[in-house]
Amino acid sequence: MFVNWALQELNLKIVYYGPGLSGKTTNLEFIYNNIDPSLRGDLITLKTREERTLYFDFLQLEIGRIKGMKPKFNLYTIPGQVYYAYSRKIILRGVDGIVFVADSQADRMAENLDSLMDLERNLIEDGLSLQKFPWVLQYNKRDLPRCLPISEMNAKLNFSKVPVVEAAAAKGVGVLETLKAAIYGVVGQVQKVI
Amino acid sequence: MELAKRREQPQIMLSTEVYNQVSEVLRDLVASTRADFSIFCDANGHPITHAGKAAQVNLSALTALVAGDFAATTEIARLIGERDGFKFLFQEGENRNIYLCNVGFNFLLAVIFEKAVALGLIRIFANKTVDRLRQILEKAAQAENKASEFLDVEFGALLGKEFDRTFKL
Repeated sequence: MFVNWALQELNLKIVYYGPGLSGKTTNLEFIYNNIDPSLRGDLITLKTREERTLYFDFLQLEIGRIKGMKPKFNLYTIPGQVYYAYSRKIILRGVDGIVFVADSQADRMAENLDSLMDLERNLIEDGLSLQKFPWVLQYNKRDLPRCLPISEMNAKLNFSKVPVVEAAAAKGVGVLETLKAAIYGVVGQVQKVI
Repeated sequence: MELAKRREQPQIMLSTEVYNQVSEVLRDLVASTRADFSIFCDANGHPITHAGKAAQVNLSALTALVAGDFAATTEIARLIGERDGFKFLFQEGENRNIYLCNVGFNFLLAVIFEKAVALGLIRIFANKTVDRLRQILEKAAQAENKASEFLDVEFGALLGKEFDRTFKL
């Protein structure tokens, strides 16, 4: 969190985490395309030639003015592929809240779990833990066949009993609800620590 | 107090007084070097203040990328045995160059300048600027945390309403 009193700005960092191809960039693209352009910056994407996220995607949102302050949310995605472990660690620095984008397809559960464990390891290195940190789960790709039932997704991934949003990000379903849940989590946590 | 205990990136508050002091130091840097502009941001990429001709530049994107670049290069330094990272980064373009350096652990300084400006001049004045900024920020670190003045339950509720209005939910 960064507060700039002179500009009356409250800056918060939210990171979209999850395995490769789970839909993290798709979430940001939908937000970018569905917000008043005066309230957002450019969507910065650092991609490989194969259109996969190489380093991160970045989008800044402003949400009005509240009690004299301008909240600014800096949204980042991480590269989901396993071999970009160091990039993920770097992007997590200074994070205030996390959206974990899980792929609901049955054959992707192992990748979801690997990514969640990777996230927990990185948080622990930074003196944090999923048990004590504001994060939300997005069960993405609910519109595809062979999705696991929500109860099974919860049993495997939601050990912290965090908010869950069902989504089909490519169609925009659940994307804004996820962001709102994440923002609530971050603001709630900030209120707890001050 | 979990967030406050974090090892690497604590909550950072910058008062109006400190903001004005930092802005003045940046203006001095640009005036002394005839750089195009200079920008000061935190290590997470949040832009704080800048001086010079930056009207055409997306500063939020620039600082997000600068912070990512600096963090990645610090890891590269560690991989080759430079524990404390590199002192500065310099990227040379056809017409414009960029010089990046860290200011303490939590902040970064970037200077964008045309090819006609000597790198040595930028280095000397950037080093002086970093010293001045560190002094200002060390004093600021002792300042009172005032986030509780606005981040209350009402703030959360108002934010939710504003979010719904923004996205027409």
